[in-house]
Amino acid sequence: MRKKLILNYSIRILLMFFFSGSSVFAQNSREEDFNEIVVMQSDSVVKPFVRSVAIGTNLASPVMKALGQDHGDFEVMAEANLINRFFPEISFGVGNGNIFADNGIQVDVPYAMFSRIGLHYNFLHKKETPGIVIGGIRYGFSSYKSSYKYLEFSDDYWPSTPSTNIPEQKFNSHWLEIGGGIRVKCYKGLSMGWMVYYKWLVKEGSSDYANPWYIPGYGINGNGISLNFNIYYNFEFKDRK
Amino acid sequence: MGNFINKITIISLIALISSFLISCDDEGCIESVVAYTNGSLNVTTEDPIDINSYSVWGIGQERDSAMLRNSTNLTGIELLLNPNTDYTDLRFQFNMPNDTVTDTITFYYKSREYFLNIDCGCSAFFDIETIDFKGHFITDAEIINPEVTNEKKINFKLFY
Repeated sequence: MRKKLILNYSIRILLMFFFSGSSVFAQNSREEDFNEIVVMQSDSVVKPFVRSVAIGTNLASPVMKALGQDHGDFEVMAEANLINRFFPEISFGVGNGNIFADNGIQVDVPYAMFSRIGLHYNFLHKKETPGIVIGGIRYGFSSYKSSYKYLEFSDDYWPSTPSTNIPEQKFNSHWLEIGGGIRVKCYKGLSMGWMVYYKWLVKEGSSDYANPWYIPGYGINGNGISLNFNIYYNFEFKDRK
Repeated sequence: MGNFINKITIISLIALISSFLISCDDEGCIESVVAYTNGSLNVTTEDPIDINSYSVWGIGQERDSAMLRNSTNLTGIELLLNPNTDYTDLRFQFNMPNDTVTDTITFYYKSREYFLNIDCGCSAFFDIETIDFKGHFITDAEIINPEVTNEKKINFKLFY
């Protein structure tokens, strides 16, 4: 098909050269040539390996924190779209928490950083759809501190211990997340979607005096599910000709 | 396109159910808050002494109540150390068919409060340093695992 077009195009160029005196013919020929060049170009478009890069954030956690939740994260995610199939991601964020429990215990986790790397797979990479269905795995790490106040203990045999505080403890926790969700293009470069992750603590990082209550980036220790509402701005790369 | 919308619907439902599960994640305290000091009783003589049962009192305990009363578990023993001091004196009374024998065992340790989680609160953990004994019945005491936590593991052995 392409060889035939090139041959046809060459013949017409030669004819144009010989009949350049005829302006009508020349104009018609130019129009036809333009159309054929467009056909040739559209036939030889090469989509880039990196289709787009995106910057995004998870709105669920900051919104829940604003609504009164005792902990919350804010993160910025950077993601690349590789051949519309693989989506490697890296994210950085900060989180903090503070709780006054019904049993009188107070736990304070000052702002601390966390980071994550991950890879998602687009299950609809073969289809032209306004959105994608993705699943993948992420690895997260956080180094943070926690302090505990007003702790009392009783074993119902010996007298209760007096109320005491545990000074600031340092933790290093890392975890794995496996999950999936959807994402839909909304307006120009904006896209948004839901992701549900099931999480496993690879290392809790407990100290000699305490288990962590809240882990920045992971959430409450012992809660293995998170629901994210992500919003992204995509920078798309043009097709190569 | 219809297939895609169906997938979106399913995923959205999963997300909604998951968010409901997250909101219902209040399971309460499901682990042991009390850190028992676990030990085992071991016979060393060729002619074993016939013990029917034994009782244990914590010396200095306000109500002078028994920690264990007429226990017939002759292999394993669970003791409570006083979290407010750095030693605990325990009076053991061994009940035999025609007699009772009383020994005293003292645990020396360092105690520390340990935060478990919000639902369970805190526990007291111990690091046993030495075990002393006085009396007629117990011949030796051995520390197997000095760290006493809320995980059940053998911390010491008593020989008689």
